[in-house]
Amino acid sequence: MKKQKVVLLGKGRVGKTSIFKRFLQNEFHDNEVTTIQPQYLEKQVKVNTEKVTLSIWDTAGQERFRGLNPLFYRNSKAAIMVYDITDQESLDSLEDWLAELKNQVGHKIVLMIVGNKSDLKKKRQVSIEDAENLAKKVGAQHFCVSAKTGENIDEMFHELAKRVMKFVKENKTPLNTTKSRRNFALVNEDVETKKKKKKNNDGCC
Amino acid sequence: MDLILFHLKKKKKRITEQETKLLRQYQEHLQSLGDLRFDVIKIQGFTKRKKKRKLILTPVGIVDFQEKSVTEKNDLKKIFGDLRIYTSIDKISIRESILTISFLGGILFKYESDGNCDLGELGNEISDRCQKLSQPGTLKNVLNYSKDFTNFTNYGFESKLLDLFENEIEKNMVHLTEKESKKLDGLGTFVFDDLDETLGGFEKVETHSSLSNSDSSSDGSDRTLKISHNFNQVKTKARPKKRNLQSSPNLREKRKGNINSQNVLNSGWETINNNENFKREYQSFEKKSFHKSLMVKNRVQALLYQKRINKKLRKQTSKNEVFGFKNLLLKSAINVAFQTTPPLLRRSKTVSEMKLKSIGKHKILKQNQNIHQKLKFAVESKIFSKNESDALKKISNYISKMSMGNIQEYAKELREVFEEFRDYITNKYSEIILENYCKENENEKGNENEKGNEKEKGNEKEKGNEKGNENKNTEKKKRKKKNSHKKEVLLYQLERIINEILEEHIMTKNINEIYFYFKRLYKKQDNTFNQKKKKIILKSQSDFAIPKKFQSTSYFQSAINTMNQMSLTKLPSDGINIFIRVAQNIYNTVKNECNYNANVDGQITADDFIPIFVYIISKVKLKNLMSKKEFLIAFSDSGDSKNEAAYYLTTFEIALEYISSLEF
Repeated sequence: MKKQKVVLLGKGRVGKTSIFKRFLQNEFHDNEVTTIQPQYLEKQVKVNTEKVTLSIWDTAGQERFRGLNPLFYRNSKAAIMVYDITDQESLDSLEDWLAELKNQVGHKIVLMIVGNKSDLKKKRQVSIEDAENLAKKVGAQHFCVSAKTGENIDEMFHELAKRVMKFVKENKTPLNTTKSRRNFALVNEDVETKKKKKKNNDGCC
Repeated sequence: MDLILFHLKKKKKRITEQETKLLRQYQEHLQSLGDLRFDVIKIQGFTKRKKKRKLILTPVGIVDFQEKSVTEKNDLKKIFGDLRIYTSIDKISIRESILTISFLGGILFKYESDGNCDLGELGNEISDRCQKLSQPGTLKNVLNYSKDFTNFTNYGFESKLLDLFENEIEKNMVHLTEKESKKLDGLGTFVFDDLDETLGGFEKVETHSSLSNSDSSSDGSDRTLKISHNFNQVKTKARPKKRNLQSSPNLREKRKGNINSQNVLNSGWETINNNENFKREYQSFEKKSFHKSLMVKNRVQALLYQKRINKKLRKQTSKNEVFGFKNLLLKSAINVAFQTTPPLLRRSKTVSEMKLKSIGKHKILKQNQNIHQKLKFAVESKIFSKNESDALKKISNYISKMSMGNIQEYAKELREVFEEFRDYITNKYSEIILENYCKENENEKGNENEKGNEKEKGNEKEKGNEKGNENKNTEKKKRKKKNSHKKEVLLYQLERIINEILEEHIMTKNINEIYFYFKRLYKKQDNTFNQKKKKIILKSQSDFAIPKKFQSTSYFQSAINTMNQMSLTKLPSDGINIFIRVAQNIYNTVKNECNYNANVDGQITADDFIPIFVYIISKVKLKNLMSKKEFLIAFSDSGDSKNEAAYYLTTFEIALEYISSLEF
């Protein structure tokens, strides 16, 4: 499986990057080979002995750059929408994001709706039912997560990887047929014929 | 349609009768040379306010056609029959046409409508035309026109010429080393042997023209050569006045036109031949400086050497000699033009060396660089083996046949060919290379660890060997884990490396032309973007809404400097790598300068990063950012753009579009 692109969406200061960081800290220790940047992350997830590499892109939540965010969505297979449990507005703003996603990305995407800061249950303002209703409407899956304690985060990404695998297998894009036209295709044949010749030679000898 | 430019006198507003005569004669003269058709394509002039600007000091000429009255246009039309006038053509394209002329002796350039020229066919035609160009008249033109080709910078054809030039110099160097054995005896003679041939070319031209235009032979030959002398005059004006005085007697004579041009030229050559000082200088120059430059094989340095030495020569010798000296160098380029087509070229070393220096500061990146180099070496050894060299040739042939009429389609096809080849190689060799690589690493690390273990053993022998064994086992497990993790990362790196190598060895031929196209296509966007950028330039960090945590005291100078290096890069992979370096610079400056703790405040988010990136772009000196952007997007991997580099490319896009969406 090649890399699959995942986009992190949400209002500013919801805790997108902290989820990011937590996911990174749990398993990822080798700093030697890849220089880890805080905005871009690559990680392998195992799903039933199959491996998927998720490349996760952080996006800007500020309204100034909101019109330009569609540039981030290109070719993305999944989107994680993050809202804050203690902030009703953050959930409401998700609907705008969803509308944008539908406009910009023509095909379907794997969607996850994630409520962050589940450790602050006393300050909860958003009811779970509202969030789950929204998730049902769009065909997404709902998770409650806390980046501080690390609750539910691995499971969330595991589930995401599963669904992405399913999604990719179902919507396989047909391979380019134009490739066979090219002169370069002859090269492969040449090599193969050479091999055959070698084999024949071996047989003779 | 073939192209030729003519010289009308500079700063003249009207075309006199004499000049019309001249043009007619010249046309007849040219038509007598061969079966080629000639047209005047461009006649453009320089206005008064552009005094300071360097005139393109070739005999090619240049009068603004838009400012001309209708009658004059008609006059010109009468002279040349079917005139095609292109009014909206850039300065660059003028240079370009001049250089093509210099390259091919005043013939051959293809224009389509509206100034879009078809460069793709040029390469094919060059080889065909060059065979026709064995006639002597063309040689003269080359010598006249190509004088100043070193002055043109930022321009695609220059590199093409230089490539040819370098190769020829290499040949000459071999020649020199052979002769060096005879050091004391035969110095100087061999250098000028070839020159006689070119001079012979001159003489033939004159005779030829006299035959063809028997009535006005003397006028014609004088005039045509006068053109070349005018060129000298203009040059002297650009220099300080003292030198003007020195050279004035010669020039005055030329202005009068009394002296036969042939005599003037011959006298020039004679002075060169007689002047021993010049010979010595020339030889020492060739041996020392050029040898060095060849050792480096660096185009830029070769140019610099040329300039320096020209300066020295100007002080010591007269202008005729300099003229001859330049021609000596250019002769090599001409020889190549008649013989061969350019071979595959490697990219210049400066950029990669710069990379190494700037990257070497960070330890992590150093390790990466080592891995990168090792892997690259391994891949190169596989790709350029006997099996794959045929494939490479096929690819380069295929690419040279593609037409560049529609660039974005061209870019698409190129990319697809690259990807195909890359997949082919990764399937074939990736496992072998990686295995070899991992083995080497294990050996190195194993040696280090064994040494360490022996020391430990020495200490722990008294305590007992059990602990040592335990340590060994744990280390082995760790190593296995690391290797399995590394292989995945290395596979990902391999793809990038193969891409880079392919670009180096296949795209370097055409890269200048391709980028030139992009510049032209997105010129309007560049201009509008620059206008908006001017308004932002003076704004401070807080104006861009960079929070106070992240405002740096050095104004992100290091990142801006690395961004400015974009102008040095030519290949798309290099351009994209610069974004990664910029990002790393930003992270480092934030760590070092700002009041910011990664543990307390959390890591830098995209919310904070993008404003900083916008701020940096507003301060950058590059003028063609939009065209660069389109260029990079067109040649980066299309479907699989999920790298770290692709992320920063999109942030770059966003920053550019944010600035262009601003309204004041």
